[in-house]
Amino acid sequence: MARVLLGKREAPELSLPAMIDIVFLLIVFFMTASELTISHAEFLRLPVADQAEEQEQQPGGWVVVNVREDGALSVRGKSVTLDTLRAILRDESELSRDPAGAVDLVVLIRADAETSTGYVQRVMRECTNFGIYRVYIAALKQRPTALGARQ
Amino acid sequence: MNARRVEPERVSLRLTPMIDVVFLLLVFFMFAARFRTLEGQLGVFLPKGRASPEIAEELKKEMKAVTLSLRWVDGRPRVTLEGAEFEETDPEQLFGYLNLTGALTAKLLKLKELIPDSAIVIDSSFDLPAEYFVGAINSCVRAGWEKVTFLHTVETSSSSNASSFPPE
Repeated sequence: MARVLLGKREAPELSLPAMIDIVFLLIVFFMTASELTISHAEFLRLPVADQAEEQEQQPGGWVVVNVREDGALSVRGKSVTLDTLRAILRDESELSRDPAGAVDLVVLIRADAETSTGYVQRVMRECTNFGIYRVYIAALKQRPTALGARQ
Repeated sequence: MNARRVEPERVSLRLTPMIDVVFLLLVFFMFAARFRTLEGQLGVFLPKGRASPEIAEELKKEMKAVTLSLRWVDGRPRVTLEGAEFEETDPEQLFGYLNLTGALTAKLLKLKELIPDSAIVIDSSFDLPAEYFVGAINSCVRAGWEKVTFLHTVETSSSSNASSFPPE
């Protein structure tokens, strides 16, 4: 009669190097695919405009004005009144003024899609009052997905 | 005297604390992450010097400007371009973000072919949602209109104040 040799059962092992590889890959993915902080950008539902161009770093000054749904304004993460915005634009335009008197300042208006156009135009009007003629309106280049529904 | 040789200890990597730290990092990035959206900018050229109603009217005549009227009536947009009114209220139908089938874009393309050197004046009411205002600018840019002018709106009236934002 043949003897049946019962081999020792191998204890299940956790393959640590493989798991570490995967975890590192996940970390790299989240680091590259996400923006952690944009101090000037608020959570707004931006309008869609496929002709909007990629943001470029501007050589001169740069002011981002957020216009919320109710028309409230914020600059650099702080809520501001129209008078405060005027003061900011005045100071920034003076700082960015070149010897010839031209203002090298860019204003980016980030307006919620639901806010009234009049509030956006009010900011544009203030820009012209301080000699700021380079104004951009922020927009999403494509409809947001569920993950990034609010930018 | 018999000296005993001391075996050097093997250097080993302690995996457990490293995995703890790595998991903490992973959890941090997962919660702190906000996925990038393709945010872009539409350039708006503002006039050098303060505009006045008279200047706006002169510009409209000089540039043979076409007027694009955007009104917000009873919670719906009323869009008129050179006398033609658009029934579409959905921005996708009106502007056609992903293609050129938007009704307004199609009309703008036709007009651009007919009068290539003219400008367009966007006259919007104060309470019009910015989505439609930006959509209209986008349609103009897509249809090849380079000279886009705006009429200011005032808060208390549905009609526009006639100061303008002509292009440089």
